[in-house]
Amino acid sequence: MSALNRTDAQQRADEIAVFNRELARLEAAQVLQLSEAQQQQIKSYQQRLLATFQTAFDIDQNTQARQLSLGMRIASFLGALALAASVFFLFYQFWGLFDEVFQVVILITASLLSFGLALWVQRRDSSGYFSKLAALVAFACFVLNIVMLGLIFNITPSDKALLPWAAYALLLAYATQARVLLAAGIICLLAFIAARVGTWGGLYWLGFGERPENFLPAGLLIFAVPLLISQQRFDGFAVIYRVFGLLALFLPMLVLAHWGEASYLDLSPSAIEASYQLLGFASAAGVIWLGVRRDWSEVVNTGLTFFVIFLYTKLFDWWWASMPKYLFFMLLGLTAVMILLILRRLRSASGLLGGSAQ
Amino acid sequence: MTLTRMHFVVAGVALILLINAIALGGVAWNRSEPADSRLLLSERELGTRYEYWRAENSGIALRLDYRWAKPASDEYANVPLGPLTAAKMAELGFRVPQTLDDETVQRFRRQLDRDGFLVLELNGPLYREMLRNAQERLQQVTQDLASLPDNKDLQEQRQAAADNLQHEQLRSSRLIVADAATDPDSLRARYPDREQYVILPARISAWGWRSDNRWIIGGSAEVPLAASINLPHRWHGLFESLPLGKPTATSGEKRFNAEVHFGKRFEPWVVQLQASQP
Repeated sequence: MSALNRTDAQQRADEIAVFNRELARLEAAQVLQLSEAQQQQIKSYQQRLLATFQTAFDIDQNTQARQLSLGMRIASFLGALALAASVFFLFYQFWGLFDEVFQVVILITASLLSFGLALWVQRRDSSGYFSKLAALVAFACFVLNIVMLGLIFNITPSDKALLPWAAYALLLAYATQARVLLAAGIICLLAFIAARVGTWGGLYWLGFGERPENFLPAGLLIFAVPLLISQQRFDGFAVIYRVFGLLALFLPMLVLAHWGEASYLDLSPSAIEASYQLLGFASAAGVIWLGVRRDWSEVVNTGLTFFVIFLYTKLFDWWWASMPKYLFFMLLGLTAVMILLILRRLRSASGLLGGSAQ
Repeated sequence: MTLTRMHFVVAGVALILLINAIALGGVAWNRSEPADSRLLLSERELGTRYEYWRAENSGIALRLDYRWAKPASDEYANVPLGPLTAAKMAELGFRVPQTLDDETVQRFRRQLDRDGFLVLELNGPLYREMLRNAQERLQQVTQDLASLPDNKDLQEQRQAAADNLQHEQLRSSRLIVADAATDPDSLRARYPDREQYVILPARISAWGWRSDNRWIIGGSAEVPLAASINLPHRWHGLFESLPLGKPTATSGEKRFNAEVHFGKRFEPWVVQLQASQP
């Protein structure tokens, strides 16, 4: 298997460790005995492979390293947020001291320099922690650039700013393999498409959030991206696309299932709510089925989560007021048991939900 | 095609420069001559925005204060955003019901805000009418008080009417909403004086309320651009040095006159600022 991204490399390294442990057990039980030359051949091959992975992807070679990596990821994300806030406040602190031309020069220069810095760091940082931090700061500089141009020249607020933000976040995400920037880009893109759908009908762009249906086409589009464009070289990108696509589909359905007045449909609110409750259940079940078929565990989990949310909110609507609380919670518990039984059958039938990996 | 580092460099630099060029090109187009309108405003129409985080923000922004014409007898006159009639809302693209009941009004109010344009009149007939209304109100209450000089309510009403008149004469914004439409050209054809009427993009909202057991529907509007007009750095020194006007040295506004232009995209910019004469 050729390692295409960090996840693949890490998985291969983990499999090597498992293989070595099992080999040691087999040798101890005298089931298998490799010659000295064979052992040496395997060991040197594995070391070469691991050294390559270490250089290219800074993989974790043991459990302690993995725990430290998690801490480093958190520190990198928090540091990036703090540095982005620092850039924002730094400009606000001093921008009033300069004339308009100098303000514009500073903003463009900051965008260009931070972009160059992010790419420079990325070339020298195999771990990715520092390059992702620098990329997030570069994104903050570009957002500040556009926002401040609007403030300096009193430009009419518009949804159009979301499109270059999305494009830049996606560009930085692909350049530095930063999933957090991919998420930022997807959110900007979702908001832009939703606002455009509304403004085509003459609506004011900021009202896009008041009609959750605006997000449905955008959600479908985002979900379909990994199907249309291969994301194999980019670690975890396909998962982010699918999860955010599903969130953009299910969250509007969930809102409309309880707030029919927010719909475009010219029906009574109760009819709209009932329709979206049914659609929510059917879509969640469909998504679970699709996830099982395609071996997408994140899709199964997202579908399951929303199926349970739809079910529990419906049970709450039906029984919370009319039923003794002990009975209500007992029913919730029993539905959880029922879901577990169904999932167990699915698991044994398809080998998914942990089955295939073990 | 495999993306290389050079692809990312070129794409990133091009994106940054292109977006800035588009934004600045739009600014240049907006500010190219002739401006759509030119208004001579004062602190009455340009409120100072005191940001709560002023210590962290060295910029200065002004707020364009405008208001709606207020009939003297309108008991709902204190509604913060002014009334657009149901007929006007239909013109602005809203679906207006023929009959008003709980269900139709609810459907009317469910409609989302729409894009439109407001025309604001500076120191014109609408302002003079509001001034006249305040004067008449004071005269009316003064006459009533003359017949019942010990009446406490009337005394308070007279004081309030006198304060209101003084406020109208000295402090209130003279920028009044005159009309609304979806098409700025039709508004300019109706209001051709570019030094008295300014057209601005607006966000139109539908509303409805129940009064005296009957439904009233209409609309309101706000101008997003009015919230903040940047004061360029070259005026900061003068603005900071302006003395505070009456009524008190601590609570009064800085008194100034400003020439504000509104361009081809209706976006404003400050062209001149000077201290107003006492």
